[in-house]
Amino acid sequence: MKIKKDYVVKTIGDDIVVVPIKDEAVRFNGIITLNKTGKFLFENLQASDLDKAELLRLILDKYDVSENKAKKDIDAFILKCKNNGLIDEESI
Amino acid sequence: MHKYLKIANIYLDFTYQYEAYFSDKINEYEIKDINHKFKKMVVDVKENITIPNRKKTLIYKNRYKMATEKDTYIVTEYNSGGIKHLIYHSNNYDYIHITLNKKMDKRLAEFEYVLSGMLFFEIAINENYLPIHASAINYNNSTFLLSGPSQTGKSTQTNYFLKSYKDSLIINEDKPIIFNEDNKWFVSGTPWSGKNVINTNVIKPLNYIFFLNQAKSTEIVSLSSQEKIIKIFRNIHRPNQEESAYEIMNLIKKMIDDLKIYQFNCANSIESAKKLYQFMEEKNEN
Repeated sequence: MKIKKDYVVKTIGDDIVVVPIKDEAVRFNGIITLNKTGKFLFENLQASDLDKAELLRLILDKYDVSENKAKKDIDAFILKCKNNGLIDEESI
Repeated sequence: MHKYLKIANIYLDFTYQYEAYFSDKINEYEIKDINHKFKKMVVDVKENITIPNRKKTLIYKNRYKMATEKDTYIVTEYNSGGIKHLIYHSNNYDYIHITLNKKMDKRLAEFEYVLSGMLFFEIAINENYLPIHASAINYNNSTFLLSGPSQTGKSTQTNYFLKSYKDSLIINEDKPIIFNEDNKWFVSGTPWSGKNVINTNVIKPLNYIFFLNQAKSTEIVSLSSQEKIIKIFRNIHRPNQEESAYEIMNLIKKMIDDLKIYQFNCANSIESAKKLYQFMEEKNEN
């Protein structure tokens, strides 16, 4: 799966937000907040088409977390992206 | 009608058709000295609107966009077919042309007002101003915004404040623009201020933003930085260009650092205005 390209991620103080730009701004009139893991996943999925197993490997390589916790974080992140229509449908 | 306007520090060469919504308030922004670099906006009305033969780059509901690197057409159709209005703008918003279908008849003045406002706010964003959905009020030493989407009580609370403090000045009742200059925040009136057309051509230093929340009892509460970001984003005119999005996020960070931002849980009562004023007075003393 891949994240649509017309979103920008920005850190404002301690908060990380994702906002739509260009044509996506017409469709999605909202804002999404992420934690650090979410930002890491978001940026990787904007750059490359990755499946869950690849995301898990990336998380485990970068953060000192259990596989269980990483899987939960990935599922929560994907659900958030799907609910907000951020996933590029052609990449699923 | 044709006027040269100065809104905050934005110069606009504006041609429009109807006075109903702008009323004589627009004259406050008129300038005679035309030796400035003006953005140009023209509104006209036609019986038949011709659409250029270009590739559609976005289709959304009854609207489509035909954008190139240089300029953009935005076409809005009637659900029953036919063109309702056509917007052309250069991508730097130096030139904007809005064409309305004559068939809109009694609603032409309203559409002229709403669409020209939307396009002006795009100009403002490109010039580093932030249009915000709010009522901007000045009283004594404080200038504050009562911000919130439609139907959250902006007009009601503004009226309560005005009744309680008769020397208050309403800078703009619906869409003021705010900006940062030399590390200070300011709010400016614009001729676009919602259905009641209450605006004043002044620029005042901005101190407070209160996000409205209808409640049974009045209370002013603190917000986390994340809550502030979300509420600001919900109430600003959204940028659609990548560079503007980054610029605006930098501005929002600065707003959160510099301005006093709270949630105003307000009851539908004139007492809420008094509590709001007392709150600001106490903060100003500290």
